[in-house]
Order: sequence, then structure tokens, then C-alpha cells
Amino acid sequence: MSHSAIRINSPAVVGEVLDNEAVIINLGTGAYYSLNNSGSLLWTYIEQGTTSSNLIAALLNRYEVSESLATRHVEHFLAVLQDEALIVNLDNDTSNLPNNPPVTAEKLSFEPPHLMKYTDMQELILLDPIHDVDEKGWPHIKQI
Amino acid sequence: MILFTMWMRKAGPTSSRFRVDALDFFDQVYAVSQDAIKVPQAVTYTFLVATLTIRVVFCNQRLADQMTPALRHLVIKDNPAAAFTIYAWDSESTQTAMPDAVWSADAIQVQGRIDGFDNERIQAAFLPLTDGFAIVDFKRNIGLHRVQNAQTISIHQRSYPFRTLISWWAMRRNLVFAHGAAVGLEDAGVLIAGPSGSGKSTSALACLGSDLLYVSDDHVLLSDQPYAHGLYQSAKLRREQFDRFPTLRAHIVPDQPPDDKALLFLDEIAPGQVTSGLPIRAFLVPRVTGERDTSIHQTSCAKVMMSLAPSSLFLIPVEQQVAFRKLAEMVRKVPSFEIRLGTDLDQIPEQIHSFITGTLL
Repeated sequence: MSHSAIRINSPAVVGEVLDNEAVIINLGTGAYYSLNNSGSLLWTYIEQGTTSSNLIAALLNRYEVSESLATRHVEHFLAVLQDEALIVNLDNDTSNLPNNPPVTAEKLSFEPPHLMKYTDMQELILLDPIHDVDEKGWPHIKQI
Repeated sequence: MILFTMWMRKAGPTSSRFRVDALDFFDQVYAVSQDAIKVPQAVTYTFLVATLTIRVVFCNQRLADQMTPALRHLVIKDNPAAAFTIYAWDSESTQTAMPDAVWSADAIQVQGRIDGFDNERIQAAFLPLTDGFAIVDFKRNIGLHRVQNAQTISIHQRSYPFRTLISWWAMRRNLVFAHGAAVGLEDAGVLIAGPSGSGKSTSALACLGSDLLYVSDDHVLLSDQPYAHGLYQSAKLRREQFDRFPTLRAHIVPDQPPDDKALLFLDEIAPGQVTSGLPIRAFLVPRVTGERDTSIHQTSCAKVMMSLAPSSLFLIPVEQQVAFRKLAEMVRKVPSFEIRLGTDLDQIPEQIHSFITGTLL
């Protein structure tokens, strides 16, 4: 388990948690995402900068889940987020990161964190912006 | 003088570094605009967009005739000081040439953004789906809009003239571009949020001829409260959509260039129904059901955000991080609903009207 700092891949990635449901956009690829409740909980920690250990603690303190299962799901979740370039691992000092996720009085039944991906906007950013330019038109690229 | 550094990626083992002076480039393009736009051919229009005065100076009436109808409901006749001035011209009729580009070919990014031209003072972009180029100087409040040929202005540009320049500039005044349709009553409007094909425009067009006021079927500028300010009174319909709205066929703007969509102007269809803006009391996510009846149900803020934010952010090269945060703030302020759209289009305005009077007022 890595103890490096985990952060959002900003500024390429933006995300907001609304009513315990995260909405995330990768501005570079045009893909956008939603997270279920447990995924959104983890995202709120990632937004502040966190570690995988802290994310495991967040799940243990909120849900009825064993440490081994929480660890497995956090590892998988982070791998998925990394594959989508939504987070970055930084080899920074992690001592200043917020930690100690609060313990919920009554723990909830566990639902593994899940990322839903949508790609229907990607065609918008793949439009060729200067497809009609010909020799007579513009731009003329200055040779440097 | 603001200097920006960019990397020019050339073929070969090394890259050479050079500087792009965005302000200097703006000044060069501005000089071209002033050469292109001269009396007696130049014509000026003034528009009131979201309480802000925008003046557009065209190189000639031909270009103005193409670019002003979608904004003509916002024309103001008196001549107040303009908060923002746009100079618009075409290179062909004015026989003017643009300065050499100061970027490498691969500096053109998604949405037409240009490396080195996205900063506090200057923004510039090529405009996808058009032959347009736009550049703005936020300090002088001047925007420049150049097209190659006024005679080949696309349906897209005629529908949404100066969309990028206005959105950039409005963003600096806390107005966020949103891809949504707005209809409602004077004290309570709804924003139907969704990308193309979601049923958003169909919902709004179904309200034509009803008791509901109509702001837009596609684009609005949102201010904090949130309040939806109308921008364009144009509508673009795919040919097959006229089967649902057969009476609109008579209003297709003549002499359109080939396009898979037909352009209409709503002040000709429903005079008096188009309004400049409405306070938004709820967001609606459209969902086409295939059932006969239309109904409205509670949904989550996240569903609205999923429907609203991606298409709003990717349609225009705005400052996306800021726009995303502002859209989320607005979505949190008012309740979220899903409108399940039925095939009986008459029910859509009826249901929205009942929803506003029964739930929102």
C-alpha cells in the first residue's frame, strides 16, 4: 500500500460532490463520471489531498466492512481513478494532510466504490476547429 | 506588455522555445479590424445582454444581416456607452489579410484554444463548426470576430452569433454560459438542462403558443440567484423534428446554406412570448420515455449537474474550472426534478405550468 499523497489531477480534472454523489469531468479527454455514495465519500478526501490509508479508514469508519475488504476496494478504486487520469500520486510529505475520518455513530451497509464513465461529450472536443482553412484563408503559420 | 511562453514542438530531436506576445498579436488583429471596418460601409448595432450593453460594429450590412437576427430581440435603439465592443468583419469582402499566426500548427488545442492565448487579459480561439476566429482583450473590453467570407456564414454562426466572445466576456461578469432551455412564468422559470438530443429543445418548442414565457430552447447565461438571461431567439431543428412541429415549417428562414438543421427565428413565430430572462426556481432533467404522458418527479442535484455541466463546458472554450464550480453552486440553490417527456407534446407546457403554479409558487 502506497503512502504517497493522492490528489485530484487538477486543473485537467474538476469534480463536485452534490448530495453525496460526485460528478467529475476530465476536461482533457471529454469523459465525465459519477460516483456512488462510498466512491463520493472517498472523493471528498481525495479533493483535500489524502493517502490510501486514510481512505481505508474512511470506509471503516462509515461502513460495515472488514479492513481487508476495504483495503482491496480502495486499491482497486484508486487504480481505476488512475487509469482514467483523474488522480495523481505525489511523493510529497503527507504529514500535513487532513486525516482521521470521523466515525459514524451507526454504520451503513457497505457498497463498494464505483465509478460510472460517460463518453458522449467526447465528440464535441474532437471537432477540428480549423478544418476549412485553405491556402488563401488563414492561419499562415509563421516559420520560426 | 504581457509575455507568455509556449513550447513549439518541431520535428527533430529538440524543441525550440519562443515567446508568444498575446497582447501584441491582439493589437495586430485590432489594426486589421480597423482597416476592414470603415465608414460608410460600417454598421453598428447595440444589444442589451443580461443588463449589459454590447455594441457590435460590422464591416458592412451584408455581414450584419447574417449575424444580427438571432439577437434582434435584444436590440436597443438609444446609444448608451457600451460595456463591451465587438468588431466583426470578413476577410474576403474587405480584402484584408490576417497577420501571420505566431503559434505552431500543433498549438491549436481542443475547442480551438490556442496555446499562449488563455490568460487574464487575452483569450483567443478558432471557432469549431465555423471559419471564425475570436480574440478578446478584457482590459479594453474589446472583442474581435473575423470570418473568411460573409457569404458563406454557416447556420451555426447565424444561430449563435458571437457565442464565444459573449460567453468569455460574460464569465468575467459572473454570468455562466449554460446549455439549457428556459421557460416559465414571470416569477418562476425552469431550466431544462441537457445536451443536444436530450429532449430539451423539443420541450421548449412545445411551449410555443402556450401561456409560458420563453427565454431560450438551447443557450442561456446564468447569474448567481440563479437567473437565466436569454441570448438567442433562434431555434435549429433537424428536418425530422418538423413532423412534430409542422406549423413551424412555414417559418424556416429562406436562403439557408446546406445543413442538417433548419434555422427559425422565434419572434416571427411567437411574438410577445420571447422574454429576456426569468428567475430559475427549479432545474429539470429531460428524459424521453416513449410513453404518451408527461410527468415531473424529484431527482438529485447530481443528475442535474451530469445533464448540465459537460455539454455547457465543452460547447464553448470558457474558463472551465470556474464555470464548473459556479454551475454546481447554482444547482445546489434550487430543487432538482426530472421531466419525463411523453409523446403528447401538448402536455409538456401544461405539466410545466401546473408544476410551477403548484410546486414552485
